[in-house]
Amino acid sequence: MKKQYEETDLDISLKKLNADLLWKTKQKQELKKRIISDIEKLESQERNKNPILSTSIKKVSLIRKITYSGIALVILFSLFIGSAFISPAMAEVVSKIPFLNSIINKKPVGTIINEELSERGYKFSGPNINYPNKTIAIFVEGSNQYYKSVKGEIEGIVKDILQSNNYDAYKVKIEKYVDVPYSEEEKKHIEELEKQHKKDMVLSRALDKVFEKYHILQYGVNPNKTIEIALPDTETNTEEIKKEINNILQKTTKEKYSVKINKVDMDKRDRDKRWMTILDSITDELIGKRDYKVTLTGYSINPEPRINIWTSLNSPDSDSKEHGDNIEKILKEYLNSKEMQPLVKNDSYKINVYSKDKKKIN
Amino acid sequence: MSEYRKLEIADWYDQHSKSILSFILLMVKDYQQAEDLTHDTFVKAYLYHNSFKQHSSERTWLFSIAHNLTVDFLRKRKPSRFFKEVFLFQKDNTSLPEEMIRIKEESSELYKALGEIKDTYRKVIVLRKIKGFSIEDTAKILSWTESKVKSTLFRAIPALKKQLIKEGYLDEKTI
Repeated sequence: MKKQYEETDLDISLKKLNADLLWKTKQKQELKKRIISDIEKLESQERNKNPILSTSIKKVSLIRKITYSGIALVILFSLFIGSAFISPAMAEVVSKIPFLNSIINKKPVGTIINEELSERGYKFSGPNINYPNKTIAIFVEGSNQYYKSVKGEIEGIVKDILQSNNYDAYKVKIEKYVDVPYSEEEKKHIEELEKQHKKDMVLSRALDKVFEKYHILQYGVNPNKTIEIALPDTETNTEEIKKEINNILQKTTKEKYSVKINKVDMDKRDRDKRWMTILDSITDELIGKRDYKVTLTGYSINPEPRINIWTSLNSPDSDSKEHGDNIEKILKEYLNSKEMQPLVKNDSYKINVYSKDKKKIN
Repeated sequence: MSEYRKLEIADWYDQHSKSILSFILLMVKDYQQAEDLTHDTFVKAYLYHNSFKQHSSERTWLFSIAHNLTVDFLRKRKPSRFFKEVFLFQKDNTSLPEEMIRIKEESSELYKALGEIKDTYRKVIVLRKIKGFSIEDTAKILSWTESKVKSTLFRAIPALKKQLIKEGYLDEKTI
């Protein structure tokens, strides 16, 4: 049975989908009861002067706990190491560059693999990509039986993805995921982290007002009860910001927090972002293809931007120098292209290609 | 204070629970799990009630909590649950437990096709086209930029059409 949809028909059908999904009232009410009763348990805990919203109210799985503490770590990580952030605009610039005509619009290969396997519904974690060894490992979750039944399929899919991208340098390993149970001590530690995280969240929400008012680059709560804030080095209202934060802290919490302000060199930060984006755009290509013989890539912006490429070549080989020069030439062409201008800007940069024994070969 | 909070959550539940449940259901494709995550969404809304900022609507706020929980869940599915699925039920992702929730015949094709497209496409279509969120609110919920919402939706609609064609529900010539 075929139906004639038109552009607007699809829109209408989509809107209708919401109404066409019929949820049994009984089911809805039961869930409501469950939620309200859990909330009441939380309330009674609050009344018992136990401000810590313990996880015992629900059968929270260990995985979920880990996920939560994962969130805490990710948040702290992204707050303090925010310079790893790559703006979409920059990513877009890179996607337009014909680096040997083959890295256009290419997602990192790890992402492609992860998405493809997720879409097909496999239960796995990974891929873990080990660069110097060039192995891609996928860990299959679940029973032995499941592992055996999907190992071959997953391996085939990963190999197909690599092949279609012409990445011939990787070895593929499909392994069974071994879940190591947490020790009591670790569990305790995870719970502690989670409790702390909840408190930190409350605090940082309270501070949002200040953060919205000023140009705050990053902020976060440190485990040693320090609120760390990053401000552009051009910001002059430092004292005022500190005062406002302290005011809110006094109102929100009885605990003592200190405030630490870090000034960020904006030019340097910008340069760091740009060069990280540049490096990301070339890494898959150089490492994934055997011909380049590249084992690792790196970058640094101090004192001047430079890209470091480590290869598996022996320095005494007569071909090594030529190979090193070739890589430099390819990269220079790429970096000098008009499209890369927004990322390279007027930075003068160096490209260093190294042999296996860490001698410069270009 | 907490009595008020509880009443408000109950009120929000009455208004938004179905919409949130169906959003999560479309993402995780498992009714029981969708129910659990809906539970978590409202409990979390209660816990973090203080941090709810009035400048986004409660609906947007609830959806962002639901979205975060769902993404975390998808990232780390429990192996034990997965074991049950694969070996006890031979689970068909698109079927629904009819005694709890069902979908009308006319929309079941669309529901099925939505289940088959990429996660990112699916969520942007669900939020924009099914739930009717604005670009701005969709961006808030997904923590995306507004331009990412626009460009993803732009790609998502053809992907959904393609899926409908693949399954024989849509004529190719209409595209």
